[in-house]
Amino acid sequence: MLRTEEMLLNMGPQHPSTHGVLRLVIKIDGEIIREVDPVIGYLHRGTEKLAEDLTYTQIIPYTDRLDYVSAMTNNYAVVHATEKLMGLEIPERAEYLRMITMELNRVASHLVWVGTYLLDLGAMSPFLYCFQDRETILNLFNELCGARLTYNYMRVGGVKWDAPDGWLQKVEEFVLYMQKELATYHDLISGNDIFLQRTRGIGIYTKEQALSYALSGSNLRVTGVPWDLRQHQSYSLYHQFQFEIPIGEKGDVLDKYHLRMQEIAESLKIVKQVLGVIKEGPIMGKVPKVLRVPEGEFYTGVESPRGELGCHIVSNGKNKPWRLKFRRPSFYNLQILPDLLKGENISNLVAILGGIDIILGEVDG
Amino acid sequence: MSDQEKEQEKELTTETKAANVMSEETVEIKSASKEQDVQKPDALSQELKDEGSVKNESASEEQGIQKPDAPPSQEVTDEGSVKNDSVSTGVDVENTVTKPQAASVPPKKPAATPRPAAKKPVEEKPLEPSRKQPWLDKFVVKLKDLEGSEYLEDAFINRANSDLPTLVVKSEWWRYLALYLRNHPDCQFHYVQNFSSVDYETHLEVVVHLFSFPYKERLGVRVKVDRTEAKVDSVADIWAAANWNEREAYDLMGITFEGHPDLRRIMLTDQWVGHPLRKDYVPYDEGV
Repeated sequence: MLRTEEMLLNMGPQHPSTHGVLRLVIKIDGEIIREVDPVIGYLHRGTEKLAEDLTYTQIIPYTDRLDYVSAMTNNYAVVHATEKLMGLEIPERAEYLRMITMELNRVASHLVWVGTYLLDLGAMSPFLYCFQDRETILNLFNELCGARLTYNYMRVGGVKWDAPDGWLQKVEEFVLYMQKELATYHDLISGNDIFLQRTRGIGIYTKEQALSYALSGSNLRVTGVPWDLRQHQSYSLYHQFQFEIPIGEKGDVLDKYHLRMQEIAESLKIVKQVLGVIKEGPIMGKVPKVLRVPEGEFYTGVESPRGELGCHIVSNGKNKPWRLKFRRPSFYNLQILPDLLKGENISNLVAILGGIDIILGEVDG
Repeated sequence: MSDQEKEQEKELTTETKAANVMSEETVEIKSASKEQDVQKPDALSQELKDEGSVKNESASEEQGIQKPDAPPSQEVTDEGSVKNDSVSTGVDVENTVTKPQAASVPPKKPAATPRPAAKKPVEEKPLEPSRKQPWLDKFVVKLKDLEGSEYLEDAFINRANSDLPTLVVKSEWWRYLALYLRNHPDCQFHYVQNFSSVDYETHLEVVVHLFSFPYKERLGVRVKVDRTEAKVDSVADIWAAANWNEREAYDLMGITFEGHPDLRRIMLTDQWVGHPLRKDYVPYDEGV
C-alpha cells in the first residue's frame, strides 16, 4: 500500500476547463478529492452597484455581460421586471420577436455547452460541429441587432429593431435544418463509448439536495423535478405554445447531456410555432420618455438556459433603481460543487464541474 | 402524523417510489398552476377553507373538477398582469400593527380587519381584495400562535409583484421563522428563489423569496436589520443555498450573519475596506 499525504492543488483561475476565471483550491489525498473550496470573484464588476446610477435603459447593455452566452434572456429579465412594475402593455410582435431570440439563444447556449463539455472530456470534433451551428444563430442575431454576443436588443416596452426582410424566413430554414441536424449530434456523441464511460453515474445528487441548494434549470430538472418557469410562472406569451419539460431519471451528467439536447429540440419547437403566428405590427409599446418606475418592490424570475434568472428591483419612484439584484443561476448552481466532488477521483473533477454549466460572468456578477 | 408528513416520508424512501411521486407531481403542477391562474378569487377562498384537511393529490383532483366552471380571466397570461399600485394600498389587510417588543402576545384579533381607507385617498374605484388575501390571512393566524410573534411587523400582499404575500419581521425572529417555514408540514418552503439585501438608509433589509413545491405558494420575507449593528442569525444550515448568498450580503452589504460556517468575503478581496452596496459607501484609496 502506497502511503499518501494530503496535498493542496490549485486549479485556475486561468485554466481552460474552468470556463472562465474560476479558481478551485483542492485538497487531495492521492487521487481522491477530500475537499474543494471554490474561489470566485475574479470577474466581479459590481453590476448591481453600477445599476444604481443608471437609468433602466442604460442597465440593459450591462446585463449582456452577465451571462454572455445567452445575453437575450438577461436583457429580458431586467426589461420584464421593469415593465411589470410600470404596468406596460407590450405589442404582440415585440413579444414574439423576444421569444424567437430567447429560444434561439437557448439553443446557441446549449450548443456551446455540448461543444465545450465534450472538449473538456477530450473530444475535439463535436466542438467544431456545435460552433458551426451556433455561428448560424449568431449571424442571425448579427443581422437583427448588429451584435454577435452583446445584443442590447430589448427595450422597456418592446424591442429595438424589427426583423429585417427575409429574416424570419432564414430563422425558419435554420430551425428545419437544426431539427434534422440533432440526429447527427446523437450519431456523433450519444453512442460514443468513451463519452458514456466518462459521464455515466458521476455527479449524482438527490432531489432534496437540489432543492436545498436552490438549483434551477436543467440542474434541477435532472433530478426529476419538472420545474420550468416558462410554464409554471408563465411570462411573455409562452402559455400560447406547446412544449414539453424534459426531466432526468438518474441525475448523472449523462442525463444532463440528454436533457439539454431535448431542450434544444423543445426550443426549436417553440420557435417554429411562433413563426407560424407572428404578424406585422408595432414593435414598441407606448412608453413614457423618462422611465419612472413607481415606488415598490418587485421580484420576478425567467428561465434562462442555466436556470432561474431573477431580477429584484426596489424602486423609490425615480428613474433609477434604488437597488437592483440579480438572482444569477450559475452562482446558485455552482454552490453544490464541493458536495459533489468530495470523495471523487480527481479525473472526474472536470467532468462534474463541466456538467453544471457555469458562466463565470454570471457567477461573479 | 398528518397526511402531509406521510406524503413527505413517502417521497424520501426509495428512488423508485420517489420517481412515482414525481410523475404524479408533474400532473399536479400542471393542473395546479393552470388552476391558479384561471380561478376567481371567490372560488379560491372557498377552496382554501378545506385546503388544510385535504391531501395534495385529492386537492388537485378537486381543482380539476372545478376548472370548467371558472371562466378564464385576464390574469391568465402572466404572473404580474395584475394592476399596479403601491405596496400598501388602503385595501390591504393589516392585522399586525407594530407592537412594542416587550409586550406579551396579545389576544388574537379576527384575521381580516380592513385598514381604514382614510390613510390614502383612493382614486377611481377601490380595488378588489387580492386573490392571495385569504391565504395570507389564514397564514398570519398560524404565525400569531408562534413563539415570538410580536416580532412580526407587517403582513401584506405585494400587489405590484403579482400578489406576492409578504411578511416583514424583525431580525430577532428570522431564524425561528425560517425553521418554521422550512420544516412545518403546512409550509414546506424548501426552495429559496432569491436572496437579496437592501439598504434603506434607515435600516437594512434581508429579502428572501421562498417557494413551496408541495403547495405551489410563493412568499416574500423581509427581515429588518439594524444599520449600525448589522447582525442577523444565519440560515445557511436551513437552506444550503443561503450559504454563499449570506457571504455575498456580508461582503457587499456589510451584514454579519451570526452562526455562519464560513463568513468570508466572496466577491471582493479580503483586504477590501467597506461594503460597496451601502448607500454611504466611499471607495477607500490608499494613494490619496
